[in-house]
Amino acid sequence: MKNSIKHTMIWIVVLALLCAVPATAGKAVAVGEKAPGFILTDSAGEEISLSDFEGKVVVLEWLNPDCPFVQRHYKAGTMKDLAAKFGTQGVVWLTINSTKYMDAAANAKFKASNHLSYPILVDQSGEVGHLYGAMTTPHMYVIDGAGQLVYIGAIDDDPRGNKDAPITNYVAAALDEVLAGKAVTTTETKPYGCSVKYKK
Amino acid sequence: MTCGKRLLVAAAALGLCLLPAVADAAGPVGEFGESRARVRLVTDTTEIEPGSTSYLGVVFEIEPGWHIYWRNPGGAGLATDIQWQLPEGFEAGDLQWPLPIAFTQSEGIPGYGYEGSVVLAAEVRAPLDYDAKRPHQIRAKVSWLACRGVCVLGAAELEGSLAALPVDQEAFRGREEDLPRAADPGRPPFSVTTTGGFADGRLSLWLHWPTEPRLVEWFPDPSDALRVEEISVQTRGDLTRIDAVVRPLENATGATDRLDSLVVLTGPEGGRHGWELVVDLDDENP
Repeated sequence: MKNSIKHTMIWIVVLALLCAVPATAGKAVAVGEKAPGFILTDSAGEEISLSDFEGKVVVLEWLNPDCPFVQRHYKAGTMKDLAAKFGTQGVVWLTINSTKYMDAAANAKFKASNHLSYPILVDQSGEVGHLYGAMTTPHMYVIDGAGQLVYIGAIDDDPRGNKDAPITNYVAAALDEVLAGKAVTTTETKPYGCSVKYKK
Repeated sequence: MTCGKRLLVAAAALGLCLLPAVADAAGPVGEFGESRARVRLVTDTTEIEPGSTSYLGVVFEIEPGWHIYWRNPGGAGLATDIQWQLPEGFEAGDLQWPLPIAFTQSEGIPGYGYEGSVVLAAEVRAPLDYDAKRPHQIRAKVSWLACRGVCVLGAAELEGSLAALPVDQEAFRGREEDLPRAADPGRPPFSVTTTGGFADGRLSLWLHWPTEPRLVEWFPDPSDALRVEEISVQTRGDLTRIDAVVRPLENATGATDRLDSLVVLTGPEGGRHGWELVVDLDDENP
């Protein structure tokens, strides 16, 4: 009898744990999937939709000017140089700032002080950041002309900025391959940087 | 107030409003400096003999409210790093990481690291031809990311003569208790059942404890080949269920058949104990 009660209790605990399906933050996008559409306003107040660039290769860059990893790359001109280089080949560069405390004015200031040619889209609600599962700044996404995600991850393989060996820029490599009509070799890497400062 | 003065006051007020948010969030720079952590190089002994082992450690004293990162920083952040430069013939073992704590970096982004103070140390073996009369210079290149809402990078090059390094017994006292026990010799007090795996993308670990635990935490090791996300740990009675979405990175080059991890139990007195747990992700035995 006692054993029967004990077994019943164990099964109640197991069932309780089985039923307690953990809350998930929503499935982030994955390589090979169609890039989800979004509409955001840029730092100049202009509405920009991903669908405006249908048929074009698009790079999404998550940014937070307060993050030292972003600062390092902007000081080195990593993003700006890539945007300029591939911009001549029709690639669209969109920077998205999901930092909860950075409004249009804060982004406009960063854009002006860095003389950026590409827009910074303001995502203070974090809606688009969560839609794409952006975790870090920077966090990079490359979308091919068919609207499919072909690369997700880090900007390069040098998180500490002190690598002696040649640095591989994953976004540049993916863009080179996409523009050459080839399949992307490295389609996913672990992004590095500060956490995206999402609104609670 | 004249119009000009009003304008000046308004401009000053505006200026205050426009101060970068990072300055407010980070707070003033105090005794811990801009990198928000003080570091120093220590050893447990300077009595070195040929072939003997000792510990070299870096003590991190972290500004209250800030954290630095474990070897797996979580969804974002950067692992703390120490690169030793030792005299010829000396050999350093792997960096030993005390049990980390878990925190939320931002909504949906977990973080693993340390607050307050921590000692990251490595066992060092002297060469068999060690000669105490010769100088032996030790160097440690240390880098870390400290965060408290905003983040700052810190770096230091610490250096000292082996014979003159500060001996800090306090830094190494109770160290064994702060380190996880290895998978085999430290046979854990729980039994494990694994369900799920790559097939459905969701992994569930069931830990059965001999007595009801107070708190159980799970920390996956860093991996270049695996993504481990949406971690949830729930304990009811003597059963702990750990859920995670585990999948190989696209085009992963590293090992995807095993996941190293750490189980940390908080005992009734508040003490924490950790065990390494290797999860077999082989398709045949997920």
